[in-house]
Amino acid sequence: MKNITANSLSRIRKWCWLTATLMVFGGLAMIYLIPSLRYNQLEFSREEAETRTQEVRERAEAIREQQKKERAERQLSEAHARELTEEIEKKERQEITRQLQNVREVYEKLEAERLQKLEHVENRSLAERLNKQLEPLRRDMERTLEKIDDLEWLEADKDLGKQVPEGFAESLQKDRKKFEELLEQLDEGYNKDTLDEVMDAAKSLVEKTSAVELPQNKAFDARRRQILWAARDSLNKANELIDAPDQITAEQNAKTNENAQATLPEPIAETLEQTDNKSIAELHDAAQQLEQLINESIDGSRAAELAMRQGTDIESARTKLIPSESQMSDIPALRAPDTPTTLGELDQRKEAVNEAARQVSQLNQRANQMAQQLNSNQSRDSATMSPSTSLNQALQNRLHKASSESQPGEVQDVSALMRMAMSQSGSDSSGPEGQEYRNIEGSPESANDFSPDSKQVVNLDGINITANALPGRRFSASSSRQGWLYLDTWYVIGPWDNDGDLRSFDIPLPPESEINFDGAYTGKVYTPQHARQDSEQGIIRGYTLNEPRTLRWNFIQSDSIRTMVPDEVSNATYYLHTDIYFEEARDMLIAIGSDDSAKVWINGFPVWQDSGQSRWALGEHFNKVYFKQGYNSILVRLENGPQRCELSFLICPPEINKAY
Amino acid sequence: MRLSQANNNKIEVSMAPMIDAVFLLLIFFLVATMMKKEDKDIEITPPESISAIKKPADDKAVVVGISQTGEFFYEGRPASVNLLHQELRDLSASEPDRQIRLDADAQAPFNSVVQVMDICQFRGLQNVVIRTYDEKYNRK
Repeated sequence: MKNITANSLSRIRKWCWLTATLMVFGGLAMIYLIPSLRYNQLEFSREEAETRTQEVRERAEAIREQQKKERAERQLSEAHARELTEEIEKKERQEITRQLQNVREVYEKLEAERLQKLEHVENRSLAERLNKQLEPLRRDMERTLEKIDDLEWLEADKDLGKQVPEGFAESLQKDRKKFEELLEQLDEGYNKDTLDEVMDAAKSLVEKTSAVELPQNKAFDARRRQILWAARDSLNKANELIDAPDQITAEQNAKTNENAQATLPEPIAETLEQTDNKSIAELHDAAQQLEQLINESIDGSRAAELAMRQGTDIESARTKLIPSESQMSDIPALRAPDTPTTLGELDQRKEAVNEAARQVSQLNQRANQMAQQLNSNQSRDSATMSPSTSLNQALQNRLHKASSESQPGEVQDVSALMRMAMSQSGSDSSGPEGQEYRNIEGSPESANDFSPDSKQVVNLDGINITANALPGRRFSASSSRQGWLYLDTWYVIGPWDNDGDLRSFDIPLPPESEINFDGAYTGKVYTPQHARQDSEQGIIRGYTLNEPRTLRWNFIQSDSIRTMVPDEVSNATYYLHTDIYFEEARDMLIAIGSDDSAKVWINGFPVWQDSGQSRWALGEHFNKVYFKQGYNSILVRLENGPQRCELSFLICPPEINKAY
Repeated sequence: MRLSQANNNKIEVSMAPMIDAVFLLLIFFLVATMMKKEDKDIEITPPESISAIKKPADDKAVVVGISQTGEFFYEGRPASVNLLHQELRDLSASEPDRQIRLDADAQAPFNSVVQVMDICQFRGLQNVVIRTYDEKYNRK
């Protein structure tokens, strides 16, 4: 036992010595290797140091290049190369597969949404068609139902009843009862067969009664007036025919909403289900096809929305829209059929696989963003799609009215409408519950009439505000900065061509459906005229002439109240987007000035627009708006005519603005 | 009474290999743990500064990089503008006090630097430091 303990202690002692020695040598090596730990008394002049640094950098760069070249030329055995390639692809395949499954789910959601919207548009056009068909029949029915009552009365009259064939009125009443039963069936649920039966029954009644001539005498007229009230119920029911299509479409729509399902085309679905035996190139192809499907789905939804707004059909709406563009690109290196033979080729393959993974990841991000936007807008969209309950429409009407009728300095109060609209859409959890909204629900007229008690006017001291206003995007009640603040930080994208039409807000461009800072879109064509103007101003833009420029979001921060758009051209459309933060939900006064026309959305709700050419003015327009607690998004669409294009957006609490 | 010699020979367990193995494993894990450090840095030449305040390195700092061409990196990985917004928004919700180290190349577009700083400021991320190269500090 003694021996064991002695041996162990001796062994431990040896290890301790070894560890201590290693640590000492390791420490010395670190001090030697890490230059910052060495005390170096070398003194250089700055120029000499820079020259030496540059030389070292150049030498290091040359060595790196040489090593890279040598590495790239190093040969690989076929088996080893295959193994390495498989390893690289296996790792990324799992990630790409996971992302693609997510994209697929999002696509199915987007497609279901598109189908719902499409159904809305189709149902609306069906309703219009039915109304058109039913209109003459309805007029005939009104007369016919009156006549049936007359005939019944006539038949009962001893003297006059002789003029009516026996049992004729009774049979007509039976037909009428059947007709009314069919109407009730139709009320309970839409059924095309029942609708056809109702139409047939109505036509049959009209035909039968139109053959009968009613007598013309005073006694008959007097008694006829007495029984008119009795026919009123029947008339009302006949009138329901007019409303039926609207109800039908609403019910039909509710059903299709539940049943709307999006199916993925078979080849892509198959690829996504069996990813293990698919190459990265095949998965990338599937991703590109999915992107195309998503774009088509988004375009379809936008076209349906536009068709609903403008009352047109889908196809004509589609022609007015700019289609979504593919953000993914082909990667030729992915398609190389052979196994890499050198390290350089292997690196290229690796880069291609990484690029494919990056593109799929971006597609996933974009799709998720679309899905989030869809979720937040879903209830708002459904409100837009059913005009009878649309507060959004009310807001739209209000701003149309405001743009045409408001006086300079007059404040348009849309805060109450915004509060209601946000609580309806569920985007505002901080605000008061929709008590006011419930009062207004289903009554767009009352929503339109929801105006402030008295007109309020703001007089801005332009010089004072320009001198004292500060930039800011975070607002809290305890902030030491009081008074007017201006928004100086924006993401800007443009120009798109507006053909000089400064009222064309109805044609939405991509930023209205999604804010994707990584997106690239096709914009206005760069003409020789633009090039000449640029050249006169000494600007070099690097665009290819007569080809549409590629647009991306640009971050800009303005050093003054007025924000100028970059890359300004005439007859063009720009979008500006920013977020602002509020510690608590509250109403604020905003002052907007634009050159030329502009439209403003806050949290997706339109709050202001003007039209035509106008110079910038600090107090061009005032709104009282509602901001929810947390982050609020602001989107501005700026339409430029000739020359300058700028915007100012100021915010102030209503109680602080003294003139208010 | 005499006892046989064989009964006195006790079996001894040799501890030496076990001790060797234990120490080797200890050193292996020690070195492996020291070496395993996530590389968040990107290849940039930081701007020079002579007045920067030296701050102790924070291993937990989130590193946002901006390359010479203005591309963004988040924790050493390339990041799109959307991703950068998303990551910083999530960070502001979970750890608003966490340090953010901005590694921007000296030649990076200044607009990109402002953009990152603006996102941080807007999202309430106040603990932002900028990595610089101090010639004096690095020499002494």
